[in-house]
Amino acid sequence: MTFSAALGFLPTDSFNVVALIAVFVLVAVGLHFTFGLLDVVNLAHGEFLLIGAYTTYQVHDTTGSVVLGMVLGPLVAALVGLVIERGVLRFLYDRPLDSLLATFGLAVIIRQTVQLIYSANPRLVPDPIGGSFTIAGLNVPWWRLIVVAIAVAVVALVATLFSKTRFGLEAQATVRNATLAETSGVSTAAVRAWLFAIGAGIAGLAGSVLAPLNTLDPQYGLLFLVNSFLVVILGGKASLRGLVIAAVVLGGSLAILQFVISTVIAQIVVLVIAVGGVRVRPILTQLIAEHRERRAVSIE
Amino acid sequence: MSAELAVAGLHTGYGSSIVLRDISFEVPTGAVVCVMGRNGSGKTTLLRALMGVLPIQGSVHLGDRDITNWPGHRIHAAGMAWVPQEDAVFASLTVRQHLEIALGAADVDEGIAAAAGLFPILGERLDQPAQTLSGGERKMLGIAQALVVRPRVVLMDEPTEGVGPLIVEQLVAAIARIAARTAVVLVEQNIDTAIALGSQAHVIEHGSIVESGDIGDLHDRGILEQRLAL
Amino acid sequence: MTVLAVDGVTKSFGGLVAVDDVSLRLESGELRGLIGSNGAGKSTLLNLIFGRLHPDRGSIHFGETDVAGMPASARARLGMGLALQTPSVFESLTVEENLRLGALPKRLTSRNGGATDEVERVLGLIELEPSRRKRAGHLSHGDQQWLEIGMVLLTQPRLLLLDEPTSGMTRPESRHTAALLRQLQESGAVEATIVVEHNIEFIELVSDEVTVMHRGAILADGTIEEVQANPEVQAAYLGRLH
Repeated sequence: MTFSAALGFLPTDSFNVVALIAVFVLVAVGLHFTFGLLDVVNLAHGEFLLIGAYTTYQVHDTTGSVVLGMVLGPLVAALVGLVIERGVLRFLYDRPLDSLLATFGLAVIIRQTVQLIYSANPRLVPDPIGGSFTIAGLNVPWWRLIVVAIAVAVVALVATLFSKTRFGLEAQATVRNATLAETSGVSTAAVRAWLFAIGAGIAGLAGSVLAPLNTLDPQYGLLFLVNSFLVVILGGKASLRGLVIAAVVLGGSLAILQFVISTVIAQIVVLVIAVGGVRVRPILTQLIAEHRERRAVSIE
Repeated sequence: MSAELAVAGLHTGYGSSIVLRDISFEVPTGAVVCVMGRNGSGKTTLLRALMGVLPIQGSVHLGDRDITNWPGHRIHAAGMAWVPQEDAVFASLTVRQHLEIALGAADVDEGIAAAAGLFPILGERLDQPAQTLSGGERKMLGIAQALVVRPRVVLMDEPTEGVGPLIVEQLVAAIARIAARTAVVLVEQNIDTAIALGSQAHVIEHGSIVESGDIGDLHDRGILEQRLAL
Repeated sequence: MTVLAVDGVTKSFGGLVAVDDVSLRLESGELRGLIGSNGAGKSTLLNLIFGRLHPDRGSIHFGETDVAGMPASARARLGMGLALQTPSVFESLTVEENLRLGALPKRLTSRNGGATDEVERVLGLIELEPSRRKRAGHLSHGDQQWLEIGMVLLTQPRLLLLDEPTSGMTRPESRHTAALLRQLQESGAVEATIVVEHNIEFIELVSDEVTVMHRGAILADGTIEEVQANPEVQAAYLGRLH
């Protein structure tokens, strides 16, 4: 089952392009924190989405409220992320291969735990709004519009977090030069713990809000893992703006290509675009920088 | 009154290799203590160990507080700051952001005024990223950032290295002003600068202190030249 | 004989002119000091001479050869050697292994018969015999710089270019480096040398002539005494104590 087929995107809706881009953004932002900033090859990223989705399912099953589930999903995922960071990963920051192995192992544990509790039978989380509306000839399902709105909000909030808050400044310092940050008064251990927890929580949010668009099973997280990494890597690990651009390129490509070729091949092409993009990106950045400087000089 | 900084029996190293052995010295209030030694003697390692970057055996006291093996940010909060020899600034962060990081919850405007008082050029470059500053200005930023929190002790690792004589003059003048109210541990290769600023000196050789005393005295007796020679 | 002729060389990075119409001549037997504030263009000029950067305008002649467009590897084979400010030694190899690697290019054309003899000689010259089996990554900064110089020496360069070789060294160590460079020059092992430095005492010991750069251009040229007395140089870089 492929990524977008699982989300039920049909080739006939051009709003799908926007929606799929939003999905790419949403699933990647969490990884931006844990992998892009903290440099942990976080193979458990998909499982934070899983935790978010299944928490939503359980809360709905127990209380009948999907929305409450979507509030608690990120919190549970963040908590699990915090425990993992404090318990295991904080000893492995300078050992990237070991942290890769650790997150891989934790991912298996989490998946198997979910399977033990819920079995492999598919579960459903209902669409909290349901229905759609038509605008300018486009059919726009309400929930997908909400997903787009949430993606925009998340990017805006994260950008504000880093540029306007004290925590954001400490995080930038920690990521750039941890020793200097620590000896200048920043508790880098606390910063890293928070960054990982926030990343896990945002992944949990993504998993929660995407749950109504999919059937849930323990493999749910794996659907998003590869594309999340592609977006973060293509965007330049530590750049939020790059992440959004990469999501537009990759998500947009996938959405459009599905019109012309099968979804499976479209996903492969997206992978090729990502690999090619990574090769080409430094050249593009250089060209853009030179162009900017030339313009600046000619204006003077 | 107890010394600002008291180090006793400090041992440290990387992995299995011991770099510093049984280092003991004190920094009295108002003193500038120079740590000198040949290439590779362990001077930078000593400052890193004092700031909690490396695990140590032995003890370090800041005033009356035992700060042995405290994490760096707690040592900073307790009143000791560090100006590293390399990587002393965050390239893409602005001058203002550097000061904000160090100041924490303290008054930012007052801190900025203090930094500009020490190095006026920084006051003109508040919103420029560190990488657009010249080499000398970056040295000044590293020093200003350490001092903006009014630490009891500041550790400086070769602050005048890698800049031209004009900038060296400015930095030495600034450090002399700083020393009036902050105890300084100064790693300095240049004997003239060390004598101009320092009251005491300790010479490290192969990881141990081999000479200690009044710096003028050590220089007059030719001990500094002798120990620092090849 | 003119070992190096730099004519009207200009290099810009975007809107910043790093090297501005610089001309310089280096004769055989000359040891030239190159001083100036950070950002004056000294390192950029060295990189242009060695071929790690290419000028926007101007020409560079090494002996009779126009080296425009030649990559650094070709210029190294012609006889240029560059010792960088940030040593680029192989950190996981020992001192001895690094030097043997440095001797590789010349092994086939060596005039002195064993490359091993050369390695031993240079090892003694840079005083790293006691550390020969130490991993280069574990050396102190100054020792790494000596190792870097040693590796460059093993390529038997005609023109030696050094970028701040004494940073992080004590005064006696700097003096030793100065003595080493003078010895290489006077024994004819090296035909000409350019050394970039901030350490004025070192420059006084080592150079015959000094060129001062400021904001990408040459500000002054002459003996160290002449340059020190120059009020423009004092204002821009030296201050009044020298």
